Amino acid sequence: MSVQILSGLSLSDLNVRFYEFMKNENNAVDAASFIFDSLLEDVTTGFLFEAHHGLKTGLTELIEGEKEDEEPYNIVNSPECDVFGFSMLKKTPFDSNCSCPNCDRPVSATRFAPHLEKCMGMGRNSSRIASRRIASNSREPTSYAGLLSDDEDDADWAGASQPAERRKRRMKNNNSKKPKQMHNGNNKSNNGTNADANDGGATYETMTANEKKNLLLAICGVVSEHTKKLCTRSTRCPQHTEEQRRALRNSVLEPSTPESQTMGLTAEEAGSPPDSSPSSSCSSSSRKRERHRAPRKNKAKKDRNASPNGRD
Amino acid sequence: MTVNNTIAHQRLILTGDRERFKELLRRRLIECGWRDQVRMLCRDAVKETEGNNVTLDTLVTRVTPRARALVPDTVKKELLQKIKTHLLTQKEH
Amino acid sequence: MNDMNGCIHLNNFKAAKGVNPYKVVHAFFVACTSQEARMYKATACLCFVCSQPGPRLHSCLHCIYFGCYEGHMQEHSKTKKHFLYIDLNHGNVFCAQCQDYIYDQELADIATRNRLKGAKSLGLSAPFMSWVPNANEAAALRRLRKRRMISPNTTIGLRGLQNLGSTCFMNCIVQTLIHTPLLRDYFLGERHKCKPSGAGKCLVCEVSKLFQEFYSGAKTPLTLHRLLHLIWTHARHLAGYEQQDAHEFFIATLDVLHRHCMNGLEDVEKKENGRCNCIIDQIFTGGLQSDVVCTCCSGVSTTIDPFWDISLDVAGPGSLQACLERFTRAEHLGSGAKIKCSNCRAYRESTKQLTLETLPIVASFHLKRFEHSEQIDRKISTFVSFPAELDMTPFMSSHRRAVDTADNNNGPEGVFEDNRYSLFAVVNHLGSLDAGHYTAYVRQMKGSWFKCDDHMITRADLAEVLDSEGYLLFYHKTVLEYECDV
Repeated sequence: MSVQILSGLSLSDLNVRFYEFMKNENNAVDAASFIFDSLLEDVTTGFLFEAHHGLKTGLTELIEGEKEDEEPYNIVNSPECDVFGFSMLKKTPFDSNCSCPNCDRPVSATRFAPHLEKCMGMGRNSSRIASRRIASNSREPTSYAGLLSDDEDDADWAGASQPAERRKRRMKNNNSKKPKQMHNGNNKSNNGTNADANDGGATYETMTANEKKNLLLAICGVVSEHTKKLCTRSTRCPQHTEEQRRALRNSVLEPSTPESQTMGLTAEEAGSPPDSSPSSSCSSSSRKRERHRAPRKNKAKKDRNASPNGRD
Repeated sequence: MTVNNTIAHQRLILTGDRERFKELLRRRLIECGWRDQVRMLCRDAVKETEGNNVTLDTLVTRVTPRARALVPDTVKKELLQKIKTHLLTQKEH
Repeated sequence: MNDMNGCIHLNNFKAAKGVNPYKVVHAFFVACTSQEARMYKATACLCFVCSQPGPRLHSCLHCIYFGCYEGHMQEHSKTKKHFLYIDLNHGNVFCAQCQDYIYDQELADIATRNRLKGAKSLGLSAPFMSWVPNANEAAALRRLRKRRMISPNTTIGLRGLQNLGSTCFMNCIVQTLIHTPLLRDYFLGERHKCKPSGAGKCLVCEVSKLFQEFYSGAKTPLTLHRLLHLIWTHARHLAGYEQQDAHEFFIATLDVLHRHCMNGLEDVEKKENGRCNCIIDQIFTGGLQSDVVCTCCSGVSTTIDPFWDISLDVAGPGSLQACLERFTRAEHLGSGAKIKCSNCRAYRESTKQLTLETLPIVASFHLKRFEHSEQIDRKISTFVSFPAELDMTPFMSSHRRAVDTADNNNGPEGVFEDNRYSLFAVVNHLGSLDAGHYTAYVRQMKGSWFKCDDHMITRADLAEVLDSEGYLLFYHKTVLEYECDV
């Protein structure tokens, strides 16, 4: 397209006169001032156009709407309270119950983490749970598998101070890198839950269906009438009948429940191998919950090793 | 003198630097909160105006003088200095 | 939908002449979309009467005429009965019969396209265009008129988090993520869409719910039991609640979120070098350049690795900038660490230097305060000062190159490189290695800081934040740039 230029300079004229003009620094000062005023006028009008546009098109009104009343959310200004008005004088005023996503039991919030650790079969104190996984692949509870996911590019996300270092190595240095933390009670007695954990945290009640399934692959499992314990003899133990064993497995495992399907799915999506690691969606039926509520005192007496010689 | 200023102005359009300086000024004025002040002035102007018809020129007349006075000196100085330096360091090809 | 229907006069004009006159005038004289256009504008755009470039130069839409707004354009308009003219600085159309500027959607779209082209041809980032609601959104805005704002005097955006048994490390990282502006906008803007089968198991969905909770106005502290469970499920190396490091948790959380984003329904594509364009990568991933220079032949071997954070050694009292300087200093690798030079084809001594090639939108710094060795485990509590505003320019690869080649860029382009970052979250570890507790400071909005100590949220001032020890420091890029997607 050609634009007929009726006035003004040609391009070379413009450049020549510009360089001539700029030889004098004072001219530059004047020009800068002129240009600045022009720019400011330009930018100001631009903001005014925005306001005008919003007004004329109704956009401003549409977006701004009506401001919500802030009063119910006002920050409380008092040295004794936090911003919500809760007193700071009480140490831990809140302790609600929450439902464990793993086993569905109600758990006190302040003790949820230690519970979950046992419930999921993780942590140093859960080595006994590991020994109960009598499935052929017994893994460390603190497995690396979840980390070494199908996505091999994960290995690139190292802390930048050691760019080439792979996360595998960092995980092996797990214990040496983490600072040891006690929780915020700042006194060891609050670690009361540790006592439980040290007590061989794993119990049959806290096992997931998957773990139970694996357990029952290797032991008889029928519950003795008088000791209430599981028979840990082999699956062909003469003390109990096949019928008893079958009945037990049917009631405990419910192979056709949705959870047995979702468990497979979760393991896949999580990238961890579909083995005996506890799944995240262990929605137990009410029956299972009853089993889970077996009296705790039995825990100490539960056999810790699946010794084949355990007699009822 | 004015002709020469116009030449400098047109030169910056040619090199595209006027757009760049405009963008820089715009950013500084937003960062320092000046744009928000101008918005408030516009709001006031709309309230003060009788009837429904607020034209752009209404806003220009009512707001621009007040707005100009609110521009922080630091912003003005920075831009003046940068424009001047840029004009003086243009190289002939 | 807002009213962008122009006016009857403009519509008549469009019916007769189409949009081409506008398109051409805009492309050449408003948003110069090419160097050629700039030449025309520089030489031709002066008022036909007074030869001034302004103020408020306009172009007639009916014929070729430039007039300034001081009366010359109006004169032409009246005389010739050419009623429509365009402001050459902004592209808006004035209708002399309506006696005001009018807005037309079709023309606005043309203008937007041209402005993007113009910015691109100048090497500028895209001019910021504020959000315009689409038809559905506009209908929702009309139906639901109440607007909730973040304000320095309300608790909107704040919630306490219960300690679930030594989970203060998690609480601090969650507070940090919730107060990451871009992440907040992503989730509140409902950008995460999940597969139906993912319901209940998707960590990203769980985080999305958290954002809803934080902005709900509710005041009771939250319990992150589901989140903890999901993270432990997908990052099993974090097992053992007693030993938790906030930094390790932060990286693991980003990793799990990043992996989950790939499984969602969003349009996430995998690019080379392991990056994808999921929200986590867009916000947190930077590029670290490593240059190894052979002392013999001066050959340089360069690699660029992605990173989510930078771990810095703490050596004596100093500042964050000093730590970064040490980090990006050229280091001579001694004779014990010879590298095979592909040029010399032999093992040579070399110098190695790390610089930042690409900065992430959120720059996270980890001060290595915990030392674990055979002999001793200890915490380094040396004071390291950190600023509220941080300029990352000195640590960038491009800057180092420029310094080396003495390339002092005085042009406005140099002026544009904006590498400023603003502090928005600090995670502190209190106490000793054996008995410690994490707290966080977060910035709710400019000038408004809060201390998060599990369920207790209290106001803090910036001085208190900057005075704290600092273990994890989170900075957000101050000015966001957008790419011209033309």
